[in-house]
Amino acid sequence: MSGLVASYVLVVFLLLTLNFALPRALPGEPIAALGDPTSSTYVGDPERRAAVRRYYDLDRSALDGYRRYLRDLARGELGTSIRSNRPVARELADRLPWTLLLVGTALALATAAGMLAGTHSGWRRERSTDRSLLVLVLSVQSIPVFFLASAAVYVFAVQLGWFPLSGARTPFDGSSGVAAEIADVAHHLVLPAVVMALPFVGLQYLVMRAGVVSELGADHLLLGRAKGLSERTLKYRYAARNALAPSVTVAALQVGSAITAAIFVESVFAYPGVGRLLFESVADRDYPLMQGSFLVLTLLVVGANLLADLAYRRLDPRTVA
Amino acid sequence: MVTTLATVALLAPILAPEDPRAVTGPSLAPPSAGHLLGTDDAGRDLVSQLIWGARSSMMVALAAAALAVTVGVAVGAAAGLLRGWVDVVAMRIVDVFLALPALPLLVLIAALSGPGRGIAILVIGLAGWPAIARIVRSRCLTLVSRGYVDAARGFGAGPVYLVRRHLVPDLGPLVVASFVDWAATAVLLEAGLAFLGLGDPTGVSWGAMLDRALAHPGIYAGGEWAWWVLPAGVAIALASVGFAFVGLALEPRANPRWRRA
Amino acid sequence: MAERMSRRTFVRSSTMAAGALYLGACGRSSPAPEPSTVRIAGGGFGFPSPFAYIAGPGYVQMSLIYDTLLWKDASGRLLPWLARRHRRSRDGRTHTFELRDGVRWHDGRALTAHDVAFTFEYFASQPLGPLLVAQPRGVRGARATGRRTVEIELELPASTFLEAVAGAVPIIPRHIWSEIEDAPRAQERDVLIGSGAYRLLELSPGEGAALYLANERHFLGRPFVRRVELHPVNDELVALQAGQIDAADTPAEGIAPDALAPFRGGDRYGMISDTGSFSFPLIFNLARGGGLADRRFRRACALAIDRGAIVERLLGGNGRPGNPGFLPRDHPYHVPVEQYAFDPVAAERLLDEAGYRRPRPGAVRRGRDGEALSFSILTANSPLPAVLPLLVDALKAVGVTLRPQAVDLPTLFGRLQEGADEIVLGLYPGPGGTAPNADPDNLRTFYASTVGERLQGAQGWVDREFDRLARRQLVTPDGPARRRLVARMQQVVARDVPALALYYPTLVNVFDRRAFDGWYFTPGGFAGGLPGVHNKHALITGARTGLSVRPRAT
Repeated sequence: MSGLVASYVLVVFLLLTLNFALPRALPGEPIAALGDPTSSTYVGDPERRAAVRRYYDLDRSALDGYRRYLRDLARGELGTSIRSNRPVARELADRLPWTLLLVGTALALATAAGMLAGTHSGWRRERSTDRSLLVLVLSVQSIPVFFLASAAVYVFAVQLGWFPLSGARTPFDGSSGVAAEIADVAHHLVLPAVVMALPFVGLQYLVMRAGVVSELGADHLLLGRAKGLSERTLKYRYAARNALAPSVTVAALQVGSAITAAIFVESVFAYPGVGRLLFESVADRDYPLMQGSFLVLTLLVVGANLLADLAYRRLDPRTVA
Repeated sequence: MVTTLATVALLAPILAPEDPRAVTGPSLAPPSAGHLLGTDDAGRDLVSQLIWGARSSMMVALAAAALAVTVGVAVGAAAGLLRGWVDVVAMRIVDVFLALPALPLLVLIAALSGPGRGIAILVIGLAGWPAIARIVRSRCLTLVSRGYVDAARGFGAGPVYLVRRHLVPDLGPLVVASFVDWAATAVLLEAGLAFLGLGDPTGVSWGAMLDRALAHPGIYAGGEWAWWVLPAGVAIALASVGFAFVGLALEPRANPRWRRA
Repeated sequence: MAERMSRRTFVRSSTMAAGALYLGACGRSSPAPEPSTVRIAGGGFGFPSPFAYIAGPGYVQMSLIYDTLLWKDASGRLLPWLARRHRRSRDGRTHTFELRDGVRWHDGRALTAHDVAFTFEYFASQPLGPLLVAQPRGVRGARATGRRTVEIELELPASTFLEAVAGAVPIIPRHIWSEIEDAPRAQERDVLIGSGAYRLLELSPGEGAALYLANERHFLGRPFVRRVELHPVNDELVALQAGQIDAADTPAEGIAPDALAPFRGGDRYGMISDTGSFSFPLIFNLARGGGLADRRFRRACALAIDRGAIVERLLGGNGRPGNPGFLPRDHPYHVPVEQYAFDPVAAERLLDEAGYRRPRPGAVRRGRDGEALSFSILTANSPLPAVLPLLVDALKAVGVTLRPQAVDLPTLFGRLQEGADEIVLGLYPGPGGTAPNADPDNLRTFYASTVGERLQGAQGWVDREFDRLARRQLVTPDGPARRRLVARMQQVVARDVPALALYYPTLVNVFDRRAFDGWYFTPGGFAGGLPGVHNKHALITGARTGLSVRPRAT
């Protein structure tokens, strides 16, 4: 167990270093990048440029910058955004809850749907239910998420008006009570969460189905059937349970790609999450903000992996041996 | 489905009525005899773009999936079977890859090396292997713990025998599922990369079509949605689904135990 | 519309069965606009202080809270704003402003000449990042010569001072900011004390939402629009159609008329437009030598590109072909220049004469040194400008190859800074610097070799005559003399074609009349050249011109 934790510490350290190096390896630099094409406020005067660079700590050597970055991190400081001049920690605090809500809801939906459909399909392999489920799940998974998101906006928000177009809640309406507020947030969450969940159902489904299928011929199942156990017990107790471990691994692994998907989904729905923040900070080459959002997202993924490892040990104790 | 697409991809120069990059008609023309799916905002034939797009999508998907699965299975199986330090090192590398938010990494690689099809294959392949490695490893662990391997080894079976007799049949469905999934994902990722502007800007691909269509102001207001966005989106989905079904068709052969049952 | 409403109502009643949870939310998702409320698109435009707002849209929000000495209305002329009177010294280096009586800060203190002098002093002491649109450039110092008079001294007698500084730099209260050392990072709500017509009530930077309420004690009286809401949206037109905002701007790259079809017919929506605040320039980097440094090659390119057809094809005529003299046709300083009307035969002839010949018909031309006329063309990637394939085709027809390269914006800017690329397809350079329809000094900032580093502008083009003219027009007050200088500048750039404006897309603003119908485009932009309709003058007065507030029926 301590070996596991130690190796995760090493991973985190490697990530921290990459986190510092990657933004700076990108072509372009923050001061020029902020010269938004629609507002040509580019600073041509060399003296003023130097002052601005100094103010944003862009005039330091890479090594010095790295040392300061590690020292600040150790103190829990994430620096200040170059674009907004706000502390990165506050930017993240504003955005993180929304991403957690969105990614969490989407993955929970996807895992539940995928596992149910996968078990069902694997059990009824080659029958018509299996086939139609397979076609459905695979087709849905095969639609590019940005296309799906923008079509969903058009159909459900613009044409039908069932859901709001964008944002995470109705602004300036804090007076109507907690219940109404929760309902409002949920209402805004439906489209982005469902759109985001759809591409993740497929893998869960396939893995679960493959797991159940390869369990079908397994000895304990044959034994169980010989003992006269009910189909339902066999299906969920034996087949599904043994195929469960890969599913949990898959769910944790999906956190990584879910975050990439979140960048698309949050952009299309103008959802105020960290994914969009990261995308925007890359577009601005806003190093401190990139580092901060990278860090939060990578910690999320590493945390999910750690959980997966632990859960895997619980669910399938044989692997520990 | 995949065969059709592959044929289309191979025969693109013959099938396509026009040069997909040349301006051959009025812009945003609706479908007509001259342009079966109309034209895009610059006046280029959309059918030809769709046909040529099949070529780049198929190539990227197959090559990237092959790369991802090869590396993934090799690393995953090595980690799961050899255990020990190999396992630790491999899994930590996997962790680092998985934990890095993929998008900025892709932006970085594409920005450093310039956009292009080779880069797209490499990037998508690289994005795919860690997940596959992890799943393969967890499956291997389960297999090993079931005791066949120890038992067989006890009977003096060599590693080749072990791999052929036990691992291949048992990992089969998983590997196929992974390849299927990744070929299908690769089609989508290629579109995603193009959507982010990381594809080849002068290249013709479904992702580039979709990107340009969705970025076109007021795309939903006119009829062009139906012949510009939809065909590209459907083509991507069909290619992706096609790969998935190929995998499923192969699955029973990869799982002999099921046949026995 | 009625049909849609009823469909929505039907859906609402059916969701009741699905879950009472959604009831409240549905009822509130698109609230009917309250009278005198205007909802516009928000976004991540920073904290609305004069030192932390982000770019043009951020400036618009900040300008609701803070006032300037002068301000423009729909006539395009500067109105007396905080300053009642203004005097320019004979040498043009000193401007004296006499402030209005009785102007008060939001906290009740009086606004005095000392605040104005302090403002300029304070701006000079702060690191002003690249996102601040309004900066007191060229101001040497300011001093209060009385309680209500202030003198501002300039480094150069720049003719742009009134618009770009007096009409753009927000006046800040000394009693607040003298205590603050690090202005960009001072982002507590209580620093936002201005003299402006609105006060910030709510701000959610993460979501991009903000709410401003009218300052009942503003010096112009009670503002016409009482409540300004900024809502986070992705596509403004779609949000307008769905009733989530009351006014939408079309994208800077232009829009074809078809896309606006949903807003035509009926009297719910109003539509206004403006051409010339953006342009797509094709920039030749003369420093790369070869054909690029050869005027005949550049002129041939101009002849080979059918700019009128580009506007027709891409924008359905919703824009105007680019003028080789940079300023659009209806600019007050525009003079007719060489047009390079589309003539591929003439282009080929010119290239032949210049010694760029085709080795065989249909092949790429080669110069006398054997070098092929094949150039990389750099542009932004997301989205790829639709004009690119048209350019490639047009030049291919005359034997010139373009090799497109698309990169993301920061990379593009980084490469522009290095100045190492051959041809650049620029992006609608906007307000403040190089909007073609703003102050004619933009000719200087775009073309003159004496302007230091710049992101978008001529590359490697040095013309002594132009540089001399450019400097002289800057220090010549508006009038016939400046007009003559600017006319000559246009002729020089049209003759040499160091860069070619391909087209000026038309910017359209669509608005819901029921909420507010007083929008207008400010000629030449407001606050030193900001494009768009968000001139606060419209919201405050409800009128197009003048300082009196339109009365409300309520």
